[in-house]
Amino acid sequence: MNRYHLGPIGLAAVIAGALIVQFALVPPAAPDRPLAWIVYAAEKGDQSYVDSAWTGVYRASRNSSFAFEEFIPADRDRLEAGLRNATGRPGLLVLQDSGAWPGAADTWAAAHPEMRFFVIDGAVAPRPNVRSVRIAARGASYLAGALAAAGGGGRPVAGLAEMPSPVMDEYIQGFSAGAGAARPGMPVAVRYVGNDTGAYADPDRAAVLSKELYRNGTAVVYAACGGSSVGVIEAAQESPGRFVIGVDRDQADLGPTVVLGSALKRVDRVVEQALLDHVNGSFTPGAALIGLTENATRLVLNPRFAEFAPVLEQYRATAGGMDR
Amino acid sequence: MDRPVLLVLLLVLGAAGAALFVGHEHLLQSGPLRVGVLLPLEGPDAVEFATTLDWAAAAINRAGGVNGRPIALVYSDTSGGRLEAAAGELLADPGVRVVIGPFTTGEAIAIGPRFGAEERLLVSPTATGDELFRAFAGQGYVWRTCPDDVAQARATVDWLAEEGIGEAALVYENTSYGATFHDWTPFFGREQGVRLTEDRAFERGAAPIPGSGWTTAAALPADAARLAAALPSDGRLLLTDAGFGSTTAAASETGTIRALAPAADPTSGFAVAFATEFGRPPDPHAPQAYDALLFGGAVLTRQAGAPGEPLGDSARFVARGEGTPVSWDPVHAAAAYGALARGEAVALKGATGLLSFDREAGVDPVGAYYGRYVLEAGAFRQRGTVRVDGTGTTSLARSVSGVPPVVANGTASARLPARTGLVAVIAATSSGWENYRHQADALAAYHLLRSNGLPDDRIVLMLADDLPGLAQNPLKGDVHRVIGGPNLRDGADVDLAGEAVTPDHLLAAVRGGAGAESGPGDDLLVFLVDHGTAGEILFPHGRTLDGDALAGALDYRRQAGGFRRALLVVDVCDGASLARNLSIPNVLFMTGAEEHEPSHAAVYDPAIRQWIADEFSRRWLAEVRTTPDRSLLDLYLACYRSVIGSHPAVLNEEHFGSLNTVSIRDFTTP
Repeated sequence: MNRYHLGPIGLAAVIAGALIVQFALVPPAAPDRPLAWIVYAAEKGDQSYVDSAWTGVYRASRNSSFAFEEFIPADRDRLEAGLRNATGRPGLLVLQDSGAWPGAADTWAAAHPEMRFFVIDGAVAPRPNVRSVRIAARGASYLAGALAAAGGGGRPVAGLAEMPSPVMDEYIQGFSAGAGAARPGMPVAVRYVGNDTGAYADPDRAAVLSKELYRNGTAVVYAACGGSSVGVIEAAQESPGRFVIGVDRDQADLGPTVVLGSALKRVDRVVEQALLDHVNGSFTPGAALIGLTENATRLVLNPRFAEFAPVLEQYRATAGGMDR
Repeated sequence: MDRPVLLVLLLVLGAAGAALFVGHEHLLQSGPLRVGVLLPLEGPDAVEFATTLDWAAAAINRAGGVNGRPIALVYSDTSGGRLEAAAGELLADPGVRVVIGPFTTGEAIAIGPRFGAEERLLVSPTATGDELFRAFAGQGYVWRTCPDDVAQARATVDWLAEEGIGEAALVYENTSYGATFHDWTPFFGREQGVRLTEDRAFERGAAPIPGSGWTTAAALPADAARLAAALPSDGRLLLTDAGFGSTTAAASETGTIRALAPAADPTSGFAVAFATEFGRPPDPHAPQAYDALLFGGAVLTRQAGAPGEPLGDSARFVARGEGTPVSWDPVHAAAAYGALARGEAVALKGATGLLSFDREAGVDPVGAYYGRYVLEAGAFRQRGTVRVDGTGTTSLARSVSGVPPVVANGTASARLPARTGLVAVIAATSSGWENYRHQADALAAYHLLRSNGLPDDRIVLMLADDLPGLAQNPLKGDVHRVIGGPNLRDGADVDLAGEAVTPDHLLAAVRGGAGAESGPGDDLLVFLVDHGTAGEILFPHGRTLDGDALAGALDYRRQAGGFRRALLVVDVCDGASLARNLSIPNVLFMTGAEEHEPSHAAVYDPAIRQWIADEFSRRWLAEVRTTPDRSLLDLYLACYRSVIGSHPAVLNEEHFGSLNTVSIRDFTTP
């Protein structure tokens, strides 16, 4: 080797040093995070059922690391195209059904055995890749009926549900039973916002129906109509001496002087736990029915109407049994 | 030293040197990205921004930051008159390239040019004044994630109209904030069938006592509280966002006091996430503040994906809102930032909706959500959210109401002499740089006639003619009306200039003096553009000309055999008020604004930072050029449909003749 070799050797040394440092400073590629597909019953912003599910997603994403995509019924084509292309990275699909996705869970679960499905409030056949959770509404609705009877001072009460369906039947049956228990023989009217899934998010129609009920003497309306419930609350605010019982989340903030209480459905907890189980690798197929006893539902009083707490206490035990 | 040792030494030194260099560069590129915050943090104007901004920064950083670098917020308090000092502190920091703020439109206008000159980005979550758009359209360095108050004026009227409220009073603070509502509420009221019973300015701290019925108030919190406290039992109050959240909670029964305020997109889930984090509904301006940081971070990420691109261009790229919509939450925002870093376009769906901005001018988001609030049990409760599409005047303020009835076949004089020609009086009766557009419009009308072959001695042109030499004019000698367009001062022979711009001289010209005499067979065009008020045109030095005097001058000329038919085209605020008492045969009055309506400026030239055309004049002249043979009725209808922000009108048409058969050509060609 002579001095003429020093130049190329020196250059090679410089390049080698730079590459070594650059390589050392490049962070290793992040491993793929678990993937979740969140399929909502409707669009966010309903201040009720869907927002509760989103709360669960948000909390889960806040506390653990996973990627997620979100879909509403209008995104069905995009969702199904995504499912077809997801073979390499299947993930967990959380479906907030409640009648908004009829037949979808069965179809998808059968077509994608590599994926896991967590179905909330939907009909789905048992499969090794499916966990189904039904949040019973009868018990909390029973308490809502008792509260309505007490809060209405003996005047008629009514249940306003989204649409005729087995899911909504639970709300109405529970409510009617509770009202009847608190005030035997009291009239309980039943109305439906609509006849299809659009009734879930039609607050204007719910307001019209509620105003009619209030005008005809109804004192308390149980707004068992998801995203349409805000219409009932508005109607109560415009009808002096009338009240409403909210649904899915504590809706007292929407009508502090008219919302007696709310029949909570802790979809947020259910969704959050499903996602955390997925991230932790502890997904378990099967089916579960949860309600008051499991704290998946609850009747929460508006503090302004705390005087009715004894009513809820009186009927709590019976209500718990209504969910089975 | 023997050669092998020397060789090894060289190798080690070379490698070490390279390592040091690369490592140093890496350290420079991996430290926190400092983003400035230029907002009031204390005092009466302080809004709780830190909660939201800290939350946004933490969320973005948890998800990977901006291209791997965490955001570090640098707060600089503007309260207590510290705006300039606080802005200076941030500008002095070369690491701060994006700043969230400032609070008001006036502040943004004051400091924005400095930020543009230094190629730093300003993103305000709260500056809603209409002037912000005017001041920074097309420049790329000043943006806002809140809507222009023109949208709020519309949302206010929409709410009243939806409730079947047919009339309301408007009171507004005598500032640029209140002026936007004064300028636009009448227009939207006319569109929606809500009549303004009062339209009154007040000085800050001196809000008037509201009357019965509905009052819409553009007032800051202290004045909003005064209005609420003084509300009569049959009074109702609708507050704009400045008064929202004020101490008006002292009132009254549910429903008597309402408010509008910019809100989150309800489908974004932002309100739920905020409540989950902090146990309360979002603070005022929280969605806009979050989006300001989201947008700023996206722009910085774009820079990584487009090295060397000017920051303003990076902002414009992000602002296009194209590509796959990606939500604001940290998980998806991280994916969006990753795409931007790779040079891809992304449509960011922020807390306030899709972060897409005015395509040509930037500055303004193209849609906005407003929360409707009702005071109940001592607090404002949200009673829904409405969306106003297309903020900014272009898409918001085009009239969709029906054209009012027009007498198309008036009872004009039975026999008119044969037409012998045309004479014109063209006048812009304002002066000064701020009124540039008036003289530009007048010169455009002059050149239209000249290009149609009308000799100069058949035109009386009145202008202050000060623009070409003003110190503010960066293009000395030039007056133009199209951005980058020709100099209209060239070739224009001004007959009455400077101190000759007076009502008396204009009346003399209209009567038939001051040159451009005419005979009974000549048609007469009078084209006037300026500021106006009820029944009057304004002149320099506080002089005014009322509509009756103008009518008197026209009638004088008619009786002297000075014209066959006359067309008055008047582009002033409150234009129709000038012709209230007009009843001269064969005279048609055409204006750009009804009574109580402003006539708006149109084209803004960022190169000279001035408005260069008025809306009605621009449309009128364009329609005439496009279709020079159309009937006067068609011309009026075309203008009505195209003019933004006011309602063109024709008056005295019942004494004119057939609008269907008389052509505009009679008034624009010899």
